[in-house]
Amino acid sequence: MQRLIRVLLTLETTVAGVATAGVVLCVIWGVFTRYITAQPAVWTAELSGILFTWIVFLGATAAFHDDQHIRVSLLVDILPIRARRVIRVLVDLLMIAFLIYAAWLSYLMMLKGATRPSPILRIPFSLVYLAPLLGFGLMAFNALLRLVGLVPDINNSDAGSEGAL
Amino acid sequence: AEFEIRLGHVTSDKEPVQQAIEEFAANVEERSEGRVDIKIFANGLLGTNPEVYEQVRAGAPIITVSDPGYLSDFVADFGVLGGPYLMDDPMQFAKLEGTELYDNMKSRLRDEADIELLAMNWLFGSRHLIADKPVSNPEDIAGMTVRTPPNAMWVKTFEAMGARPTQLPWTEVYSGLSAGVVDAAEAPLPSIYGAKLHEVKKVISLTGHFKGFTGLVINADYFSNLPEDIQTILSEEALAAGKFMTSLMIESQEEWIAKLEAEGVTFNRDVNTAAFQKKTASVYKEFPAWSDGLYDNVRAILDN
Amino acid sequence: MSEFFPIFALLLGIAIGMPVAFAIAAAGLLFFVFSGAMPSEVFVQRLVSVTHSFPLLAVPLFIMTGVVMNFAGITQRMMNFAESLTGHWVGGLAQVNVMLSTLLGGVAGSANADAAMQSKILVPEMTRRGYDPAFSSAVTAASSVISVIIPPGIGLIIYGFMGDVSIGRLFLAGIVPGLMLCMLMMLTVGLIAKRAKLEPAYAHRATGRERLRALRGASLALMVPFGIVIGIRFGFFTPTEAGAMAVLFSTIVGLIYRELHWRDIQPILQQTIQATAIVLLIICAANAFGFYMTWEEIPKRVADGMLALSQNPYILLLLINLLLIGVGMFVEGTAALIILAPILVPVVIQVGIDPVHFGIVMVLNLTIAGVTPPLGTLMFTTCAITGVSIGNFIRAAVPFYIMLFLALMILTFVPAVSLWLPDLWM
Ligand code: NA
Ligand code: NA
Repeated sequence: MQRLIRVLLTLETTVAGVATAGVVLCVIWGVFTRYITAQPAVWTAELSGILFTWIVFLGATAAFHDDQHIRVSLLVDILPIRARRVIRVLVDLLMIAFLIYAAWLSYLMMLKGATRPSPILRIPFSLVYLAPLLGFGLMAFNALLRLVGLVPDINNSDAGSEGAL
Repeated sequence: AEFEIRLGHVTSDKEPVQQAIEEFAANVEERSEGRVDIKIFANGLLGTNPEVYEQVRAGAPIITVSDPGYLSDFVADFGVLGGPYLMDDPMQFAKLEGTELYDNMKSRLRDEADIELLAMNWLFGSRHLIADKPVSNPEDIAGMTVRTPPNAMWVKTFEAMGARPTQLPWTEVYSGLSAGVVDAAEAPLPSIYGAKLHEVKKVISLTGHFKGFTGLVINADYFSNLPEDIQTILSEEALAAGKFMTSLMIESQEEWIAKLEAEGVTFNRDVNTAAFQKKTASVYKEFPAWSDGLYDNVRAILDN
Repeated sequence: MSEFFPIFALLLGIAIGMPVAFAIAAAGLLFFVFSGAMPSEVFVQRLVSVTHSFPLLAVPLFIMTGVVMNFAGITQRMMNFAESLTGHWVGGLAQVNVMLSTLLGGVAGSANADAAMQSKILVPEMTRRGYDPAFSSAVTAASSVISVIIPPGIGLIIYGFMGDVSIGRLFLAGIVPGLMLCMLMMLTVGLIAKRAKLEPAYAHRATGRERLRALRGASLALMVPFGIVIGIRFGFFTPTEAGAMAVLFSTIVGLIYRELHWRDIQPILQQTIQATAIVLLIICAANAFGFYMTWEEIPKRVADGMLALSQNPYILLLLINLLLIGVGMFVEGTAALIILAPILVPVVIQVGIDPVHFGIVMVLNLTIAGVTPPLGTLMFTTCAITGVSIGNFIRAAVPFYIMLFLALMILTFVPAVSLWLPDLWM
């Protein structure tokens, strides 16, 4: 199971990484064409937006595997250990419920997105909503495995997180 | 109220369209004797244009302001109504209402996209060009970098004029113009004034390249489940508010010009519209998804 | 369902230790499911929608710039340059620490990255030369605040996006306050160093030639901040594009120095992605939650309530500062900024406060919360790396708390410090 998670993690970071590199190139190309070619590229902002969705949702999934998302453990930490454990399981169950439902809603949105094209490149928004579908789905899968103990729980409460101001 | 409807639009609440929307909301409330309550959300609070569309189509009780460009995502033919130099006089638009061509487009929108078009006769304002120098002929705009919304009709029109259309978010247009990321922007006068673009560029050429009609749309299922009298009230008041808006815009054009002139803007009224019309005529051939002969049919109705 | 239910759910979710992004998103989802106002799946649209905003793309780009600079050896060169300038002062390495945050602040925009990097490379060196590790940690965490205020800064980008304020103007507005913070901080360090008799890094002042050599080493790197400001000011590019250009430029510099290799691509991208996704997911969630607040007209009610308290801009700014300090104790700074900017900006605009000025105040206030207990992420990051206990850190940080609070008050009540440059230039 841990190997499966590791493979998934590699896939997620690879796709998000390619998307990140794509965004950088897109934006640079947008600047260059404004000064160098006869017509500025009008599609770069749009494509980078679509890639950005993928970076965020797959990146969030990768961060979820590593339990990097910011949480406030201040109030839980002052509780006795048993109460803390109960609350942890409660939080996990709430998270799983949320993630599964959010994945389902992403799927519904994906069906609707087929008829909404992006303004210039006419890329259907289904491809955009696929990112949260995969993201929430994979996070739910990971949270389930963690809850039943198939992958170790690496969350040790007050781990600080990257990514503040 | 029995029916609570939200009206979301992306324009600033300081612009005339807000006035027309308030007029619409008040009249609907009054005529329905309080059964319908319309809450207005300006400034894009409910989302961007395509996003509010998605909400409307998903069945939310929302009315939004639409323009032909966005409707053309669902029924391509609507695109023609947003084309460059389509009419000389905005009042010509009324000729389209009630024609078979226009009713067909409306029912296709209802059937294919689940959108009820309440009205399309709201003159949002002719769009003009703001830059450092006057633009009178296509030669003057050649090579100029112009900020446009992300929309194929805008891009193709400005390309046809010989300009270099590029995209910036509306909130960055002020600093973009000031710093020189773009040389020019185009918008109706109230929007130019609202975004204070005249602080950074001093010449507005009255190019009037798009007449800028908008209107109100609502989810078709939601609409058809409303009682008939409410449906009638909504449709009729949407059209009435459109007429209100259109005359407001036409009458206030000179007021806006005076207001902007008082703040140091020079207006170039000497625009060779015929040359621009000729130069951009090719745009109408660039949309293969349109029905056969669409532009000629519309032309015939308008020129009649 | 009570219209305030999602707010209670949000607070409860955060309190029981749900990750903040998910607590916000789940609370927002409750509105979509139970209010009947909207088809529930629109929730997903509200989540995704912000990722299509071009201004926010600046966040990953400036995060990436910081990462590339570390790999490209630019950080090290900047440090050598800072050392040649202030190394001979009493407490020289602490001054280098402040200087480095200021220099790097001109290129990168994350206080956390700044604090983490300097905890790793500077604090051990300071300890070796006899500095108290608690003091070194306090300097590192406190000075990282500078890098957020000096443009580019992720806090400024997010504030501009959430509050609908020009990011270009915000960037210009941050320059003078950032330099002011740097000077106040150096003054504080100097006073402490004198009393504690901290030794300089070098016995003597660096010679002109040595300084020139350090400057030459850092010159390419130093061009990046100037390039960004000049590029935005003279219209070569927008703030987001400046981010991409900074990535490109740092990469080229790294290649010229021959310190950047193919094998670095993977870790650079990976570090960028995680840091980006963590912040952006909160913004996505806040956007969905914000839809609920808009729908129920909550910002308007809050604004009316606040304006009923006072219409005087200065009293209002003071009240808002107190509110932010309170919030900053319980919610992580970026998250608080994301949730509160759209609520507070309309309030301050109504009493005639320039939202650009308020942006500097708000971002500084919430960043300071990161250095103070109980929820100081900058404090945790630094202490986790340096191994200093929180208690010792806080004791050593007291002079910096006083100085930061003073700076906050100056920036609150003297708008000209922030507005002078953008008003002059844009
Ligand atoms: Na520092
Ligand atoms: Na910075």
